[in-house]
This record gives sequence, structure tokens and C-alpha cells, in this order.
Amino acid sequence: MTKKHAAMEIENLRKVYSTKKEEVVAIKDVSLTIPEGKFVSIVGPSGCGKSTFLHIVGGFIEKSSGKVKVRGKEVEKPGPDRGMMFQESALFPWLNVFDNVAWGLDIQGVAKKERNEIVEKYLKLVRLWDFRNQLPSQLSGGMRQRVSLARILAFDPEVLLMDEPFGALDAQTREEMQVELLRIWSESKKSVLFVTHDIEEAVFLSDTVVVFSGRPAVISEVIDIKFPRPRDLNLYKSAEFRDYRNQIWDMLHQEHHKPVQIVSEVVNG
Amino acid sequence: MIKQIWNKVVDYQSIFILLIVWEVIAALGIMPERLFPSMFVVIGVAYDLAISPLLWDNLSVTMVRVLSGFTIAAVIGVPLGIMMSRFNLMNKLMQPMLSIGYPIPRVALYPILVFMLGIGSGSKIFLIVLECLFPIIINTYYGALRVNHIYVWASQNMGANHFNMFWKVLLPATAPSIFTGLRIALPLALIISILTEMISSTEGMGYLLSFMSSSLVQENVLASVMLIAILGYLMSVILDIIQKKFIFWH
Ligand SMILES: Nc1ncnc2c1ncn2[C@@H]1O[C@H](COP(=O)(O)OP(=O)(O)OP(=O)(O)O)[C@@H](O)[C@H]1O
Ligand SMILES: [Mg+2]
Repeated sequence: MTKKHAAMEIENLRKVYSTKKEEVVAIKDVSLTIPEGKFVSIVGPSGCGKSTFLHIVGGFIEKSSGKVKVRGKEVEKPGPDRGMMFQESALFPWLNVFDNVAWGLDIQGVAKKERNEIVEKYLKLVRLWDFRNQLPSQLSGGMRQRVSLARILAFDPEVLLMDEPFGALDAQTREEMQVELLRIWSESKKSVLFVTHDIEEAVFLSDTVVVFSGRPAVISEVIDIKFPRPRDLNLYKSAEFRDYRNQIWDMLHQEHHKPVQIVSEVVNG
Repeated sequence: MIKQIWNKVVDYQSIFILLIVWEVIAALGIMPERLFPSMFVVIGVAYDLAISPLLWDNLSVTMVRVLSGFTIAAVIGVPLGIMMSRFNLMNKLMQPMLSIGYPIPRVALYPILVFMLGIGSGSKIFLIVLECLFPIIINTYYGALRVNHIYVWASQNMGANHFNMFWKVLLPATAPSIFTGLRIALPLALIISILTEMISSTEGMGYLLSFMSSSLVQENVLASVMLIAILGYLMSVILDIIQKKFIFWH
């Protein structure tokens, strides 16, 4: 059997932002392997380099050194093989919901009839088909995030990169979105790299939670979440859930008080 | 309906106040009537002009010059401004021309342009283009700089090439600033057209204005000015309507 590629392989990644005044080391040395079809979350304090990490995997910014491969292919520039959901809404405000979701298909030259079917399918999947003629500005934050998700799913990327997609939502909407995301994910079976600073969200969603330490980012812990799927919101109430949560909480707070830097680890697929 | 008219009157009250003050001065005879004719007389002359071919022939000449100069400036200026925001080399080449060229009174170049392009429409349209380019390029450039890079990234994520990115992301995202530039440029186009027609022309609104001035009859001059003001106002109203149609999302 030939060696099957992991969904994403990151090796000794380092990122230094050079500004006029100083050099900021955003990511010090991160290695991470994400197996095919898995849901992996990154948690870490604000400013520790989570977005930077995702932007590098997405090909939007350049790395300083290291290797980044998606399905065995070295990442050089952005592309539709990696669907990126940004921390802020990236929907085009001048297009309605339908046209936003259709955009990627249009420029890839998908025939109109097929395009319309795909858009309809994904807008129904995120339960926003009835809102297809609205402008993004007319939607709530949660609805906008669902449109963003539909827009990414529509062009059928191989992996999903999600940067705190539910960060700005209230607790209840956020939980609904989490359930919805799991439902959609279980249907699509795509590998997901999900960034959040909400520990519970990470535990609830993920197969694996990766804990980033404070600036500059190094991986301080990798925790496998061994809950069966499908999962529902009752999970939040279980004792094991709280154990996971506390374990990660301790990790993060230990980081906060005495910044020990543990050598990065690798998730084995 | 009556309420709407009243609202318009309130919106433009400063104009009405000016007109009333003018009328009072004219009626009291404080100033010689030759210099301060009643607005009603002026409106009468303007009306006579408006129904004569004299106005429409000259108006169409001016409009052709204004619109072609303005359009050419927009077609050149908008892509240039956007490209400056994206390509550093382009910006490096353009910036000195903008900062040195902007303070130059470009009308001063008119005699040279006449020498090169003749006294017909060519030299006038060229000067209009030159004049309009500055506000259009500058506003487009700064607008495009402010476009959230997240839109560009999102489009790249969906596989956009440069062409898609220009037409379907940068252009609509910059549209509000582009219109700011266009709104500044359009009256400039009219002003330059009239100015150059006053300097040398046998047709156009500028020519009409100087023709009317030569009679030394104040109400004729004021009537021409009034018609030009209405023309400028209507042009900006039309641009407003177009802007609202394009930037409904803003
Ligand atoms: N373009 C940039 N130039 C210079 N420094 C930057 C730039 N972008 C990010 N940084 C720095 O890199 C570090 C990591 O930023 P990043 O946005 O990746 O953090 P984050 O973990 O996503 O934070 P948050 O949870 O608040 O979104 C920060 O200290 C930030 O100041
Ligand atoms: Mg971030």
C-alpha cells in the first residue's frame, strides 16, 4: 500500500512579522499533522498566533520557514482546495446571499444550471434558502456565518479552515451553530482545522484539541477527545466533558503564569 | 405633494434667502438697476433663451465636451487608481506626477494645448480629462487602499485570477470612493469646458456666456449664469441617481 497523505502536515513552522520598528515572532516552532477526515481545534490565548497559523495554511501570508503541506502538496498560494472561513465576515456586501454563494462557482466556470443547484443545496443545508435575496448587512451575525460556511462548502474544498467562526455570537446561537456544523461536517467528511479561544467549543466539536501557548506560538499540549459521535448538546453537562475542559483550562492558565515552553508535539494519524 | 415642495424649499432655504435679498435690493433701487435687475427679469430672459435654439445648440456642444472628457478621465483614472493600490511600482511611478501635477493650474496649459490640438473640441476635451483625472485617481487610489484585504483573500480562496479580482472585487468594493471622485470631477469638467469656451470658441455655453456679456446687459449675463447653474445641478442629480443604483448596499 502506498503511503496515504495526511490532510495537513505542518513541520517546524515559523513566522516572523517584520514591521519598521521591530520583529514579532508570531509562531516559533509548530509541527502538527492532521489526519484525513478529522476535526482538529486549536485553542490558545488572544494574540498567540492562531489566525496567523491558519492564514499560512490557507496560503494568504508567507511563512518564514518550515513546511506546510495540504494533502501532500506544498502550500504556495491560496486556492479552492482549502476553504477558509475568516475571523470576520468576508461576504461581499454588494452581493446578496445567493450571489455570494454562487461567486466561487461562477469564476470557476460552473454551468449556470449546475451552479444554481449547488447554491440551493448548500443554502438549504445551512437553512438560509429563504434568505437568498437578502444582502449580508440585512442578516444577523449567526446567519452571516452560515452563509460564509455555505459559500465555502459550495466550491467543495478538500479541507476546511475556520478561524473563530462563532466568536462573535451569543452563547445560545453559538451552541446551535456548533450542532449545525457537526451535522454538516458529518455529512461532508472533510478535514477541519478549527480555531477558537473557547475551550468548551473545542472539546465539544473536536477529535483532537491542540493547545497553543502564549506568544510566540508553540504547541503546549495535544489532547484527543474520545467522545463518540454523533454528539449533542447534552455532552456539555457530562463529567468527562468537564474533565477535558479543566485539563485544557489548567494548561492555558499554567501558560499564563509561568510561560514554560514545551517542545512541540505531533498528532499522529 | 405640497409637503414635498415645502421640504425642498426648506432644503434650499439659503438660495431662497439670497434671492429674496436680491429682490429687495432690486426693488428698493439701492443699487443701479443696470447692475441689479430683478430676478423676475432674469428668469424671463433665461426662459426666452431656453426656448430658443441658441441655448440648445450651444448646450449640446458643451455637453459633448463635458461628457466625453469626464468619461475618458473615468475610464483611465479608475483602473489607474486601483492598480496603484495593488502594484507598488505603479504607485511609485504615479505619485510624483500626482503631487507635482496637482497644484499646477492646469488651465494655464490651455494655450499650449490649443497650439497642439487646435481651438476645436480636442484641446478642450484634453484639458477636461487632465483636470478630472486628479480627483478620480486620488479618490480611487485611497479608496482601493482601504478595501478590506479580507475580500481579496476570500476571492483568492475561491480561485479568483487578477481579472476576477479587479472586476468583481476591487471595483465594487472601491465604488463608494470612486463616486466621491466622480462627484468632484463632474463640476470641474463643466467649469473647464465653459472656461475654455470663453477663452476661445464660437460655440458652447462658455461662448454663449461671453456673447451675452458682450451686450453689457446684466440680465443677459445673469440668465446665462443661471442656466449654467441649473445644468450643473441637474448633472449632479443624475450622478446621484446613478450612484444610488450602484451602491445600494452601502
Ligand atoms: N500583519 C502583522 N504585522 C505584524 N504583527 C502581526 C501582524 N498580524 C499579526 N501580528 C502579531 O502576531 C501575533 C499573532 O497574531 P494572530 O492574529 O495570529 O493572533 P490570534 O491568536 O489569532 O489572536 P486572536 O485570538 O485575538 O484572534 C500578535 O501578537 C499580533 O500582534
Ligand atoms: Mg485570530
